[in-house]
Formats: sequence, structure tokens, C-alpha cells
Amino acid sequence: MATLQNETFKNQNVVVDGHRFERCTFTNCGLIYEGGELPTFDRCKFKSVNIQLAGSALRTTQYLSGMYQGGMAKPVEAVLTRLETTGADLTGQRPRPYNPVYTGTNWGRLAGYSGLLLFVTVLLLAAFFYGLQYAPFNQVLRGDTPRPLTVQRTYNIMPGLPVELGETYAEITAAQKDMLNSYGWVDEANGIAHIPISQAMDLLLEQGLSQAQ
Amino acid sequence: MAHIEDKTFRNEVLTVDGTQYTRCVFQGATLVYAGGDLPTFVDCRFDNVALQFDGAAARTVSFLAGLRDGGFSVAVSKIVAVIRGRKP
Repeated sequence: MATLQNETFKNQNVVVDGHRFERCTFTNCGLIYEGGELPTFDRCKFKSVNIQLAGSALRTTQYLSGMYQGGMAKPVEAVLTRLETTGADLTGQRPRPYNPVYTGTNWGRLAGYSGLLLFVTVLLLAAFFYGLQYAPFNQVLRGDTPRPLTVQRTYNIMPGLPVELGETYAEITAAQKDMLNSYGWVDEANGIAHIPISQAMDLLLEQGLSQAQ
Repeated sequence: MAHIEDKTFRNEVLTVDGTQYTRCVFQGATLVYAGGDLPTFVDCRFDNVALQFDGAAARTVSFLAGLRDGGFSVAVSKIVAVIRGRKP
């Protein structure tokens, strides 16, 4: 596409196909379009210009006119109405298949989304480590009712021992030791007494088992 | 120019450039014009026909649409009036 910049066209016809006009001025000109590559006008000024169609472009309008007059007024009218009211695509063609080569890359939008993702990630990590520091996993949550796993359970694994609080193992063994090392009645009515265990062991060694019994 | 006679086109897409159709029937067809030689239709019948444009014809329609958006709506209206067979 040829680019024309800062040109002034006056009292002449200009074929505009395939041209890019930048900051040009058209005064009392005819702009002729022949159906070729679409022209572009960037910051141009127009004064007393008229539009002329030639070649394929002219044939296109003749085709539409012929169809309109020849019984195809309804579909032609649909094209003309949209042409007058909107600038939407009127060619009725299928859209060009998506081709990533022509879409380019929006670096600005990519940077924005990346920044947002990074911010959210940092926020989540901060929340995680904050929670980890001030509410570690092994800390029991305070409340009126204890958690089921922390309820005190009493297991009576030694039925001979009393379960009342206050009696310790030392007190119990002390009472038993007193009994082992002292004299006393086991069954006074039948004349059965107990002697210190050390003395009983000496008698057993001296007299033998039958005598001791 | 190609000649086609006494044929029925049903639900087809046709490129009509440079073709003469005589006593043809177009039902649900799509007629595509690309800006080439003008087609002619002699004693033809059209039923639910759509129009499409390709090539130079598509660019022409786009050019006119661009003019309309670019401040040349009066010029575009004149061209449309000529197509409709009215005085601009």
C-alpha cells in the first residue's frame, strides 16, 4: 500500500485504491474507487469532494440495481438498508478462520493479568504463613467443651489397685511392707499368726520345708 | 459468458459472475457476486434467495460502509438512491 503524506489535491480526480492518505487535503476533487485494495484516510481534510465508482466497484452497484429492478428487491433492500444505517459487515461472507498469526500480542493485558495473578499468590502465601504462625496445627482450639480426642478417660488396667485419688503407689507398698516385716494375727481364732518374712526364710532354711509347715 | 438454461438450483451457493441464466429456478440459493462481468437472468424465478459478495464486490460494499462512517453519508445515500432507481 502506497502512503501519501501531507499532500494537497485540488481540482483533480484521485484514484484511491490501495493508497494510504495521511494529513492530506482534498479540495474540489473526485475520489475514484475501482474495487481494488481499500484505501485509508488518516487525519485528512475534504472540501467539495465527490465519490465516483469505476471498474468492479461500478459493476457492483449496477449488479445491485439490476437485481433490485429484476425481482430481487427484498434481498437487495436488506443490503441497502444496512448500508445506510450501520457500518457493519455487509458482504455476507463467512468470517475468516481464526489465525493466531494475525492477532498479535497484547503485552499490556498480559502484564496486567500476570501482575494480578502474582498479587493473589502472594496474598494467599501470606495468609497461609500468618495462620501457621499464630494458629499452629497442634494447638487445641479453646472452647467450653473439650474436643473428643482430648477427653480424659480412665482405664482400670490393674483391678487390685484402688482408683480413689489420694492413694499413691508408695502408700500402698508401704502398708504391704509393714505387713511382711511384722508380727500379727492372720486368724486368731484358729491360732494362725504371721511373722517377719526374713525370720520365716531363716526357719525354712534351718528346719526344711516339712518342719516349717 | 457461460450459459445455463432450464436448471433448478436448490439450497446451493452459486458464483454468478459472467453467467447468463435462462429459465432457471433458484430456491433457497445463495448468489455470490465477486465484481466480475455482470450476470444476466432471463425468465428466471427466485424463491428465498440470499445475496453475498466476494472479492472486488465485497470491497466495494465495505468501501461504501466506510464512507458512511467517515462522514460521507450523503454521498452514500445518493449511490443507494441510484441503485433503487430513484433520483439522487
